Amino acid sequence: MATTSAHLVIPGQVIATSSTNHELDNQQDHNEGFLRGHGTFVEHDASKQEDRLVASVCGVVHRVNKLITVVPYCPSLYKGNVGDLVVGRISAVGVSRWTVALHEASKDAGLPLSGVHLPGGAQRMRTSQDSRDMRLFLKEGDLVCAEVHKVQPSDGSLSLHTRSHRFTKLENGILVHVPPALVPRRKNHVVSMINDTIDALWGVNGKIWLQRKMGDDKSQGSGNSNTLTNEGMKDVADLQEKMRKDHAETPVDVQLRRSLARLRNAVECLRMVHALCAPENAEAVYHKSLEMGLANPSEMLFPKHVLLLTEDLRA
Amino acid sequence: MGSSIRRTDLLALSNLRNDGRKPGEIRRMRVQLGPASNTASGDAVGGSALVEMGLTVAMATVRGPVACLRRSDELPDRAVVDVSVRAVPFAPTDRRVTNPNTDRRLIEAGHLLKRALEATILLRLYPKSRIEVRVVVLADDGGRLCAAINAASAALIDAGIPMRDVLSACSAGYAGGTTDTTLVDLNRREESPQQGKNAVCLPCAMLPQRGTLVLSQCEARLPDVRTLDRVLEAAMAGCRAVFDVLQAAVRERAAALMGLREGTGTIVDSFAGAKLAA
Repeated sequence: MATTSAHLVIPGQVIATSSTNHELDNQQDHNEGFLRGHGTFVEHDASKQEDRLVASVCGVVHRVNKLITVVPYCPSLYKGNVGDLVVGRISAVGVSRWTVALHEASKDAGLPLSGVHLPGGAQRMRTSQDSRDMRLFLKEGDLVCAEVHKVQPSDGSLSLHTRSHRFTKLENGILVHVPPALVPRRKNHVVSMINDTIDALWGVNGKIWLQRKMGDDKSQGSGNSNTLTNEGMKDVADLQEKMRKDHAETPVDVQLRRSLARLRNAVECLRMVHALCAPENAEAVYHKSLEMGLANPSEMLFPKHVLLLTEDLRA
Repeated sequence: MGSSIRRTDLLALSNLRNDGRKPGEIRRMRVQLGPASNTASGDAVGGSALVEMGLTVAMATVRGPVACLRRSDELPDRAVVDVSVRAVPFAPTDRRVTNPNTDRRLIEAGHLLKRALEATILLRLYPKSRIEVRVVVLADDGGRLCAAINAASAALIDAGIPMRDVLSACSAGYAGGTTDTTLVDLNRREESPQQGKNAVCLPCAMLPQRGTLVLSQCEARLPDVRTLDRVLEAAMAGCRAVFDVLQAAVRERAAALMGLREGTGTIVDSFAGAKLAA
């Protein structure tokens, strides 16, 4: 994104004015009108008979035809969109819904009981028995990976649903926090990294989950195809459930622990210099740290190393 | 010894105040945005700012908009601002033991800050939510309320919460007697009672680009209405001076972060508490 001619505004700065004098309205040039976008508000100046578009956040002005928006310079807020992959922590178990904390500085989201897969992959209505057993499935403090299902238009609160059996409850891995603005929205947020030894979930809410590669790929290959019968679906669900349990129970060996820690620190390096925390960037930092001969992953976080490691990504 | 002229007399003779400022001059002001924003783990906040006005230091953190603690607290059409102002025990220059939870003056400062913020933030954008503003006064050399307001304002900008304007605050006072001058941005010595009389101190907060006054408060007795006008005028001039500092800091921070993303600039991070040259 080229922002060479970026126009930085602060809250309260007037971006545009347009006359509200209706006699003049007809002759008004089209350039003069504007549409209020995010990060702006309209103020009416009675004395001059004009409407003024004023910035309400500090950021860069973006303009698409008449629509003027201000993109905040560092949106530490996470604002959900439908389809976002998010990683969150269960903060409360309610009646037939869980509350999931997505980000420290934004509202908690709801995960309804109907939004999760039942054990065994059964397709049926949720009963009151299911709602009593909710804690067996996910309890307070558990990490979950989910997708934004709906954004309430009234107050912007989010409702989630889980996507797969493999990544519902997250166990046996590392969680990294970064500002949500640094996680780019892309096609695939579940990626396997470092020669397919690590699975990573890049939550758009700034939570990145790293864990050992789950299961083996051969049995998984056919699992995702749509041509399966109900019977097959059930098997796949069971298989994935089993894989998840195996993954959670098997300890990670030292070698992999080190590479997980290295990847975690790679993300941390990117965060420190406020660079985009994309999987490729993290992987680049990872490999660079090996090239530099930093045997111990903790050495990556020395300030001088942070700068060296992220040199290409900042430039 | 020989000369019996005290330093304060000398300053008074040269028309300067007890800390060497001119009457219309604000104290040296430093604003740091995001000292606690970019931290590693779960205790992350939306925005933070540290404001120094002379020897008075205030730090503000902002979280939000988050859900209200109780359903009964939420408002159907707008967000509520949840403000708390605290002072660390070693903040004041005099040794007085106060309980920061029940100190009435701090609670009052919290209320005033809340009122000022409610007039500034576009609360209607976030119905049924709560914006949490926490201010800690780290050192108090007068103008505590103004420093708290400026810190909160900078932290809100850092958090990216939509506001009408950059709220800025400054106090003004009036030195009566022979001098008959208005003073801007009072320090503790100027705020405190002199010769048994309450010093005139008028903290004032405004939206400088709108020209709107959102807070002004005066507890002392002024000689007449014209003086009030003069003092208010001086306070507003102080607010504008404060605004210039705030604005410069905000722009610098925004430019620095954008520069980082584009590959230039310096690393501003809290992990070492220092700036590293890139």
